[in-house]
Amino acid sequence: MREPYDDRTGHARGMTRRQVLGIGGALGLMAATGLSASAALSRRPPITGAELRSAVPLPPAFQVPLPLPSVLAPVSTEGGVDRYEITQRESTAEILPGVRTPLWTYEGTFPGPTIESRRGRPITVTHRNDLPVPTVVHLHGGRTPAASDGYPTDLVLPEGWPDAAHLRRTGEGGHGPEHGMHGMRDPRAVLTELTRDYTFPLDQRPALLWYHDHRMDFTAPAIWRGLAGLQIVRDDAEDSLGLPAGRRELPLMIADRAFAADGSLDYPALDPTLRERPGVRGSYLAGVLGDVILVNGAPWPVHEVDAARYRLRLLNASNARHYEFEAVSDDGRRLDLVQIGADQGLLAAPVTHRRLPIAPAERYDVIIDFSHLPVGSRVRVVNRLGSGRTRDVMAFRVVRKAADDSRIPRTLSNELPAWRRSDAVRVRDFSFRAGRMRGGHGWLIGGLPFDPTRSDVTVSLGDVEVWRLIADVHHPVHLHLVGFQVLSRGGRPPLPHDAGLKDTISLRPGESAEIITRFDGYRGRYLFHCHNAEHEDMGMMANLEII
Amino acid sequence: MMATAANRFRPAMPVRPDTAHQTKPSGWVLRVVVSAHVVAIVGQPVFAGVYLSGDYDGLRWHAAGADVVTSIGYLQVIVAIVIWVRLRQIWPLLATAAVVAAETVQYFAGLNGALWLHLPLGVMTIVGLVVLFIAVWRRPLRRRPRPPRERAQTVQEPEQREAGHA
Repeated sequence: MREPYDDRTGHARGMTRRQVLGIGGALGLMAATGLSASAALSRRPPITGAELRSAVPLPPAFQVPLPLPSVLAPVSTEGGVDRYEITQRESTAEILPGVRTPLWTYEGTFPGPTIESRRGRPITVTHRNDLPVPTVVHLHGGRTPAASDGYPTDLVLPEGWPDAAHLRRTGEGGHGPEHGMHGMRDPRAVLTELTRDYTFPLDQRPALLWYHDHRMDFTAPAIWRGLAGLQIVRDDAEDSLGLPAGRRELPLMIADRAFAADGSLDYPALDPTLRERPGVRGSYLAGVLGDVILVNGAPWPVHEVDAARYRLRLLNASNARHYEFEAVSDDGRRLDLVQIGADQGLLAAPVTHRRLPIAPAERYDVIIDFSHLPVGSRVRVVNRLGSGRTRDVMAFRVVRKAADDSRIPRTLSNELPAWRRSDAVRVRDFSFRAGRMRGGHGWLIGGLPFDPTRSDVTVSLGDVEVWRLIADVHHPVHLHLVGFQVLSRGGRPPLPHDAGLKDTISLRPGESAEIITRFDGYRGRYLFHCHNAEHEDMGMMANLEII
Repeated sequence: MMATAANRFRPAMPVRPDTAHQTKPSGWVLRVVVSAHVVAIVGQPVFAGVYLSGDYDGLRWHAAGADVVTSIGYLQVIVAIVIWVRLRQIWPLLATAAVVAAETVQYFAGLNGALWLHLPLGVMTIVGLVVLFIAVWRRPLRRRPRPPRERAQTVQEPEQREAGHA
């Protein structure tokens, strides 16, 4: 400013035109540069997590046939209870053609065997732990008594584990020197040696559930190594709807993985033995993404179909990857995805989508109609949130014309709860965000990292509550025991895919949602947590005590 | 040197240190509106922070704040048009148009969750508005004298410079 202030005229003639243009231009340039840099450097659409690169050659897409997990046969059906036995053991599978991959499995396969069950008919699953580390099984979406819900410290110890000898001496659990969070003790933990009977009453709506490991601090690497399987609950009402069934009903467990040079599954664990030190390397703190998309354990598979309706039962079993599915035929047409069910079973009425976003642990029950497609045509399921190879998911090839007597009823279910805001006895707010934990990076709920000994939420059995959830980055929030309805998202009405009864809600960066539920079923200690499995292992869980 | 030139050709100008007295009523309206605009927009990062700290109501305040800020922005456009017509000063309108355009983009970026755009543009919009706030307060908003042709060529230069202030 060569001319500051002229007090004789009272006129501030601060700047020359040249200065104004110069300063204005500089500010404009800075703004443009800043916004361009943001546009170039930001992930658009946003992604939470970092992607591993496989060190082995990857097969072309749509070559491997889609496997369907085998259905587990009960060892006994006496007394109105189906009894199953599952051994958790190390195994090897050829996931990529010509590559041997060691896995941790339920019954030797990935995904584990599917359990077919009926509403109201209890089952008992005896899990035997032949793995080198403690495990605990959670049936995701199950309405399960607390003792069988797979609380992260209720561990089943393998043979020879340090705690095991102690357990034999005292005959009681919960005092082991090394379980739970790094020396954090949980006096309520129930430890067993080698086996555990999990009892599931299955007094719940028909739905696609999944069982997976839920071990304290090590859930993410355990699921990554293969500890996940499906369970389907059915009932007569659903069977009578006339939905596509039999081989036209396809359970699809979608999960991303990456492969190391030796063929093993690559994972950035700080302790590759997964015995003592939890956590992942720094750049993967937000979540671990793979560059290979597996469907039912096969990379980018293809499935031959009739020109007919199919029922796809989608599960995102990825640790951190979100997808947005779109079904596109090779001539560029987009097929409708008619959603008939959510996490916790059938919707009241179908909802038609062109694109379907799915967060980790979410499920969608979707009808896709191939009947108008000529024989020989191909439909790709693509992921609009992916890039490069993760843009593809799987494909269907229409191979024959066929009769189709299936239908999509306009009313699917009339037993959905009708909770109203005014029913709620309490409103709670929870923030899901990054923070500090034990001197390092953590993920916090309401500013606190998980502590098994702290009661975060205590509710009376039967109470209806509204929970308001706020996220800083992507957080798929999951409640154990109960299903909930979405009241609002970002202060506005729920999105079309929020319909129905859910147990996991996907929050995107900066997003919030209000959910309503009734806490009924069973009393005891349950959890709610982020189902980004890495976040979950780094503190993003909280206790839900139902009294 | 410019001041001396100006004074030489405007000897009748009264000497008044309080510049505010020379501001026209429409100029005062602009000052009030811009001031309210700044106050409202400063609330936006506050509410966003409250929201991300886990207070759900923060989102409602942030959304209501966005409505208030953009409404004041459009009001400011009207006032700036009046300034342009009555005082023949166009720079408040140009600056206001830029701020309001940014706010409009900002509004929809926020609704769509495009945080890569929403955060930096929000910071820049506030910076822009603060610069405008300083500009409207640091000197009087007077009618720009009808410049050309009527006067000698030597007069024109400082007057144009005055008009160019932004």
